[in-house]
Amino acid sequence: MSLVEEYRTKCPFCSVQDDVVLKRKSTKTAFFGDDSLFKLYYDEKSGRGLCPRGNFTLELLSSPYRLRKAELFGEECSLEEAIKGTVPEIKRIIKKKNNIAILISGNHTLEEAYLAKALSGELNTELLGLFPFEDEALLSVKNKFSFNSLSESDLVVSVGDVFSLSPTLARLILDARNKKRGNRLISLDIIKGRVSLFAEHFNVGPGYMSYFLSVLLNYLEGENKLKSDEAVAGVSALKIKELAEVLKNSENGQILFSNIYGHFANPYSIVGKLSRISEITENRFAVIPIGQNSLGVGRIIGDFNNKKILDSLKEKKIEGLIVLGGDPFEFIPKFEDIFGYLNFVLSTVFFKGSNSSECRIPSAFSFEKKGSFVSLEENIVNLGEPVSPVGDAISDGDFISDLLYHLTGAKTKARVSVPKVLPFIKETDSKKPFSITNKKYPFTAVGIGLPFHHDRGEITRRVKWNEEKNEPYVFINSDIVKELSLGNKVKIETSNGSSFFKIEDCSNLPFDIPRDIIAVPVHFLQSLQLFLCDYDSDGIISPGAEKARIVK
Amino acid sequence: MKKKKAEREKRVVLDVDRCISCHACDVACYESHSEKFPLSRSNFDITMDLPLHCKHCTDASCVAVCPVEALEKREDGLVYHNSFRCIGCLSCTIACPFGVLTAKRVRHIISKCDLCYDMLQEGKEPRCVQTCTSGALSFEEITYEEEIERDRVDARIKAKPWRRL
Repeated sequence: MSLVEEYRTKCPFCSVQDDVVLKRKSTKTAFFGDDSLFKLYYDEKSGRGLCPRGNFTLELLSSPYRLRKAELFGEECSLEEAIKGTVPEIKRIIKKKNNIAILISGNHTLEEAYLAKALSGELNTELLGLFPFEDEALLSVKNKFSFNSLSESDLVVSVGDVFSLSPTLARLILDARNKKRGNRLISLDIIKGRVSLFAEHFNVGPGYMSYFLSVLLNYLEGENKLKSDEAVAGVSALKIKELAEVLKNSENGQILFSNIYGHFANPYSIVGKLSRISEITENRFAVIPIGQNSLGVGRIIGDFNNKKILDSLKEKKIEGLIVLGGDPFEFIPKFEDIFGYLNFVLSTVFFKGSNSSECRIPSAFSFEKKGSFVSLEENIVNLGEPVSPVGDAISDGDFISDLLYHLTGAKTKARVSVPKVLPFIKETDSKKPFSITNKKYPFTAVGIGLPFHHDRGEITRRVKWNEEKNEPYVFINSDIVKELSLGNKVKIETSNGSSFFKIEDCSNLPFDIPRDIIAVPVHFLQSLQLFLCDYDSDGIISPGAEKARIVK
Repeated sequence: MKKKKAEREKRVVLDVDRCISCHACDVACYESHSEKFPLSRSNFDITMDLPLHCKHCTDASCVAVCPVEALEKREDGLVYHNSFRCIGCLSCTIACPFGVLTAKRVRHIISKCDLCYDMLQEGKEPRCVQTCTSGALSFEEITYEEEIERDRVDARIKAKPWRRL
């Protein structure tokens, strides 16, 4: 008998789904602390390593949250008691149609998403939505992507900062750029990012990306002949023509799109235009979601429901909310105001914000459950051998099955088929936007991602390595800090809200921050308050960059 | 005397033109070493947002200055830190020409890269190299001439202005 157990699984942190090998010595003693029973190995077959978030997998395995018990109305109880105890309340709420909403994270398996869909039917509600909200804009795209072809591409266009959100793609992208003389890496973004250091960077003003792409698209379709002295969103006509030529002449190009909260306005329009540009220029196009399986989960939901859900929450039209795999306080801005009006909140999270939920179910991590995902390459991939969960934690799929059993008396099995891509709805945004800033708000707050935080940072920001960064911080151009004699802390105000932030040293970023930009890492709850969580003209929730001012 | 080609040692080499400053190497070192066996502390320094760690020098100044022989240059090339001998006098941190041995003491003694010796024994590369997301870190045999060139690269890390402009 082997003394070492080996688990081949997927990294639980992003949609690249890198392979991870976990090994542990067989022992009956479980302990938690600085020493992990497990050892993490990087899969040599993929050759892509693991990003900082991926390396924290070990820390998840020894997280004390794994030992948490279920809670019902603030009291610890068994899973069975918690599930049974919620049934009468749920039955009361669902007498009225659309009286309860279900939000499911993109980190769930396809099987769990199918069960959530079945649950929504049983709960008499159409309000089933995907979070992170910014991933909803990506559901109408079928990725044309493969890891092998990426490293062979003669052109890679990164729209957004792919290196920050999915750092393990960096090796392939840099390989492609270095492969042959003439290969190009182009970065299109509203501020410089980690990709820009290695790329020809096109800086398009905040809020203008959709408009810029519509101009480029019109030029490619021959509908718009740009005047040579014209500039669009800060990019000269000459540069736009050059970009169009590069896109047209590439033989094996790849366009990648990644977004983050508070970054791009109208992401659905951006995705639509990029999709069209890739068709015209015969390049491949792929979207990189934040959630591990957002493409799969979102397609199973089958509709863009987040607008309806947020409207119902804001207008206090619903009584109940079930959140699978997240803490509503962490991802719904101003949820404190909404929370008081909800009669029933059930969450399956590990973290502190949901303490006041009526029911909390300890949820297993992705490496603790069986199931399948849609990969970036559009294949159905298996999660691999699960590590046994400790304590009372169960997968959200098992929880939904149990809940359905208690609601209906029948057992529900998840069926798995390839989920269909959502058809493109009509895009409305191609008008020239107004400038974001004005005299009252001379700065633009732009949400940025950092490669060493997970999601809103609820995991990695609490580990010792990152303890000193626990306080919310922003990056402000160092000249502005001197000119305005700003201290260590400032209050940043947007039309949506305000929060206090520490001013972080810009030398901790490998790129510069322009004078009129306040770069806001969006893994802090306080950061979310700055951005308007509302729907855009396409009807998609898209918190983009916001006008801002510094209050001393 | 410098080693001949046949006696070349493997070193962790950084390609500054590939590093995306993602800190994966930093976290991998932290996760495997901080307060854990086999090295009780991680030793990873981020300078100019680029990783800078022990070069395991051929003629290591830190070894030469250590008053208690807590540092030794082993035959396999590793500059080994014996934590039982170390008295935390910080002489090595002053002697280190690259500034990678920092004065941050944990439990009164210094911490230093061990090239993930446990991984080397399994025939694998150090964790920082294995986890590197952009292929900037490699574990390579280098010649004396390459070592000189590498020193120039390290100087470039300190001086490269475009990362700040």
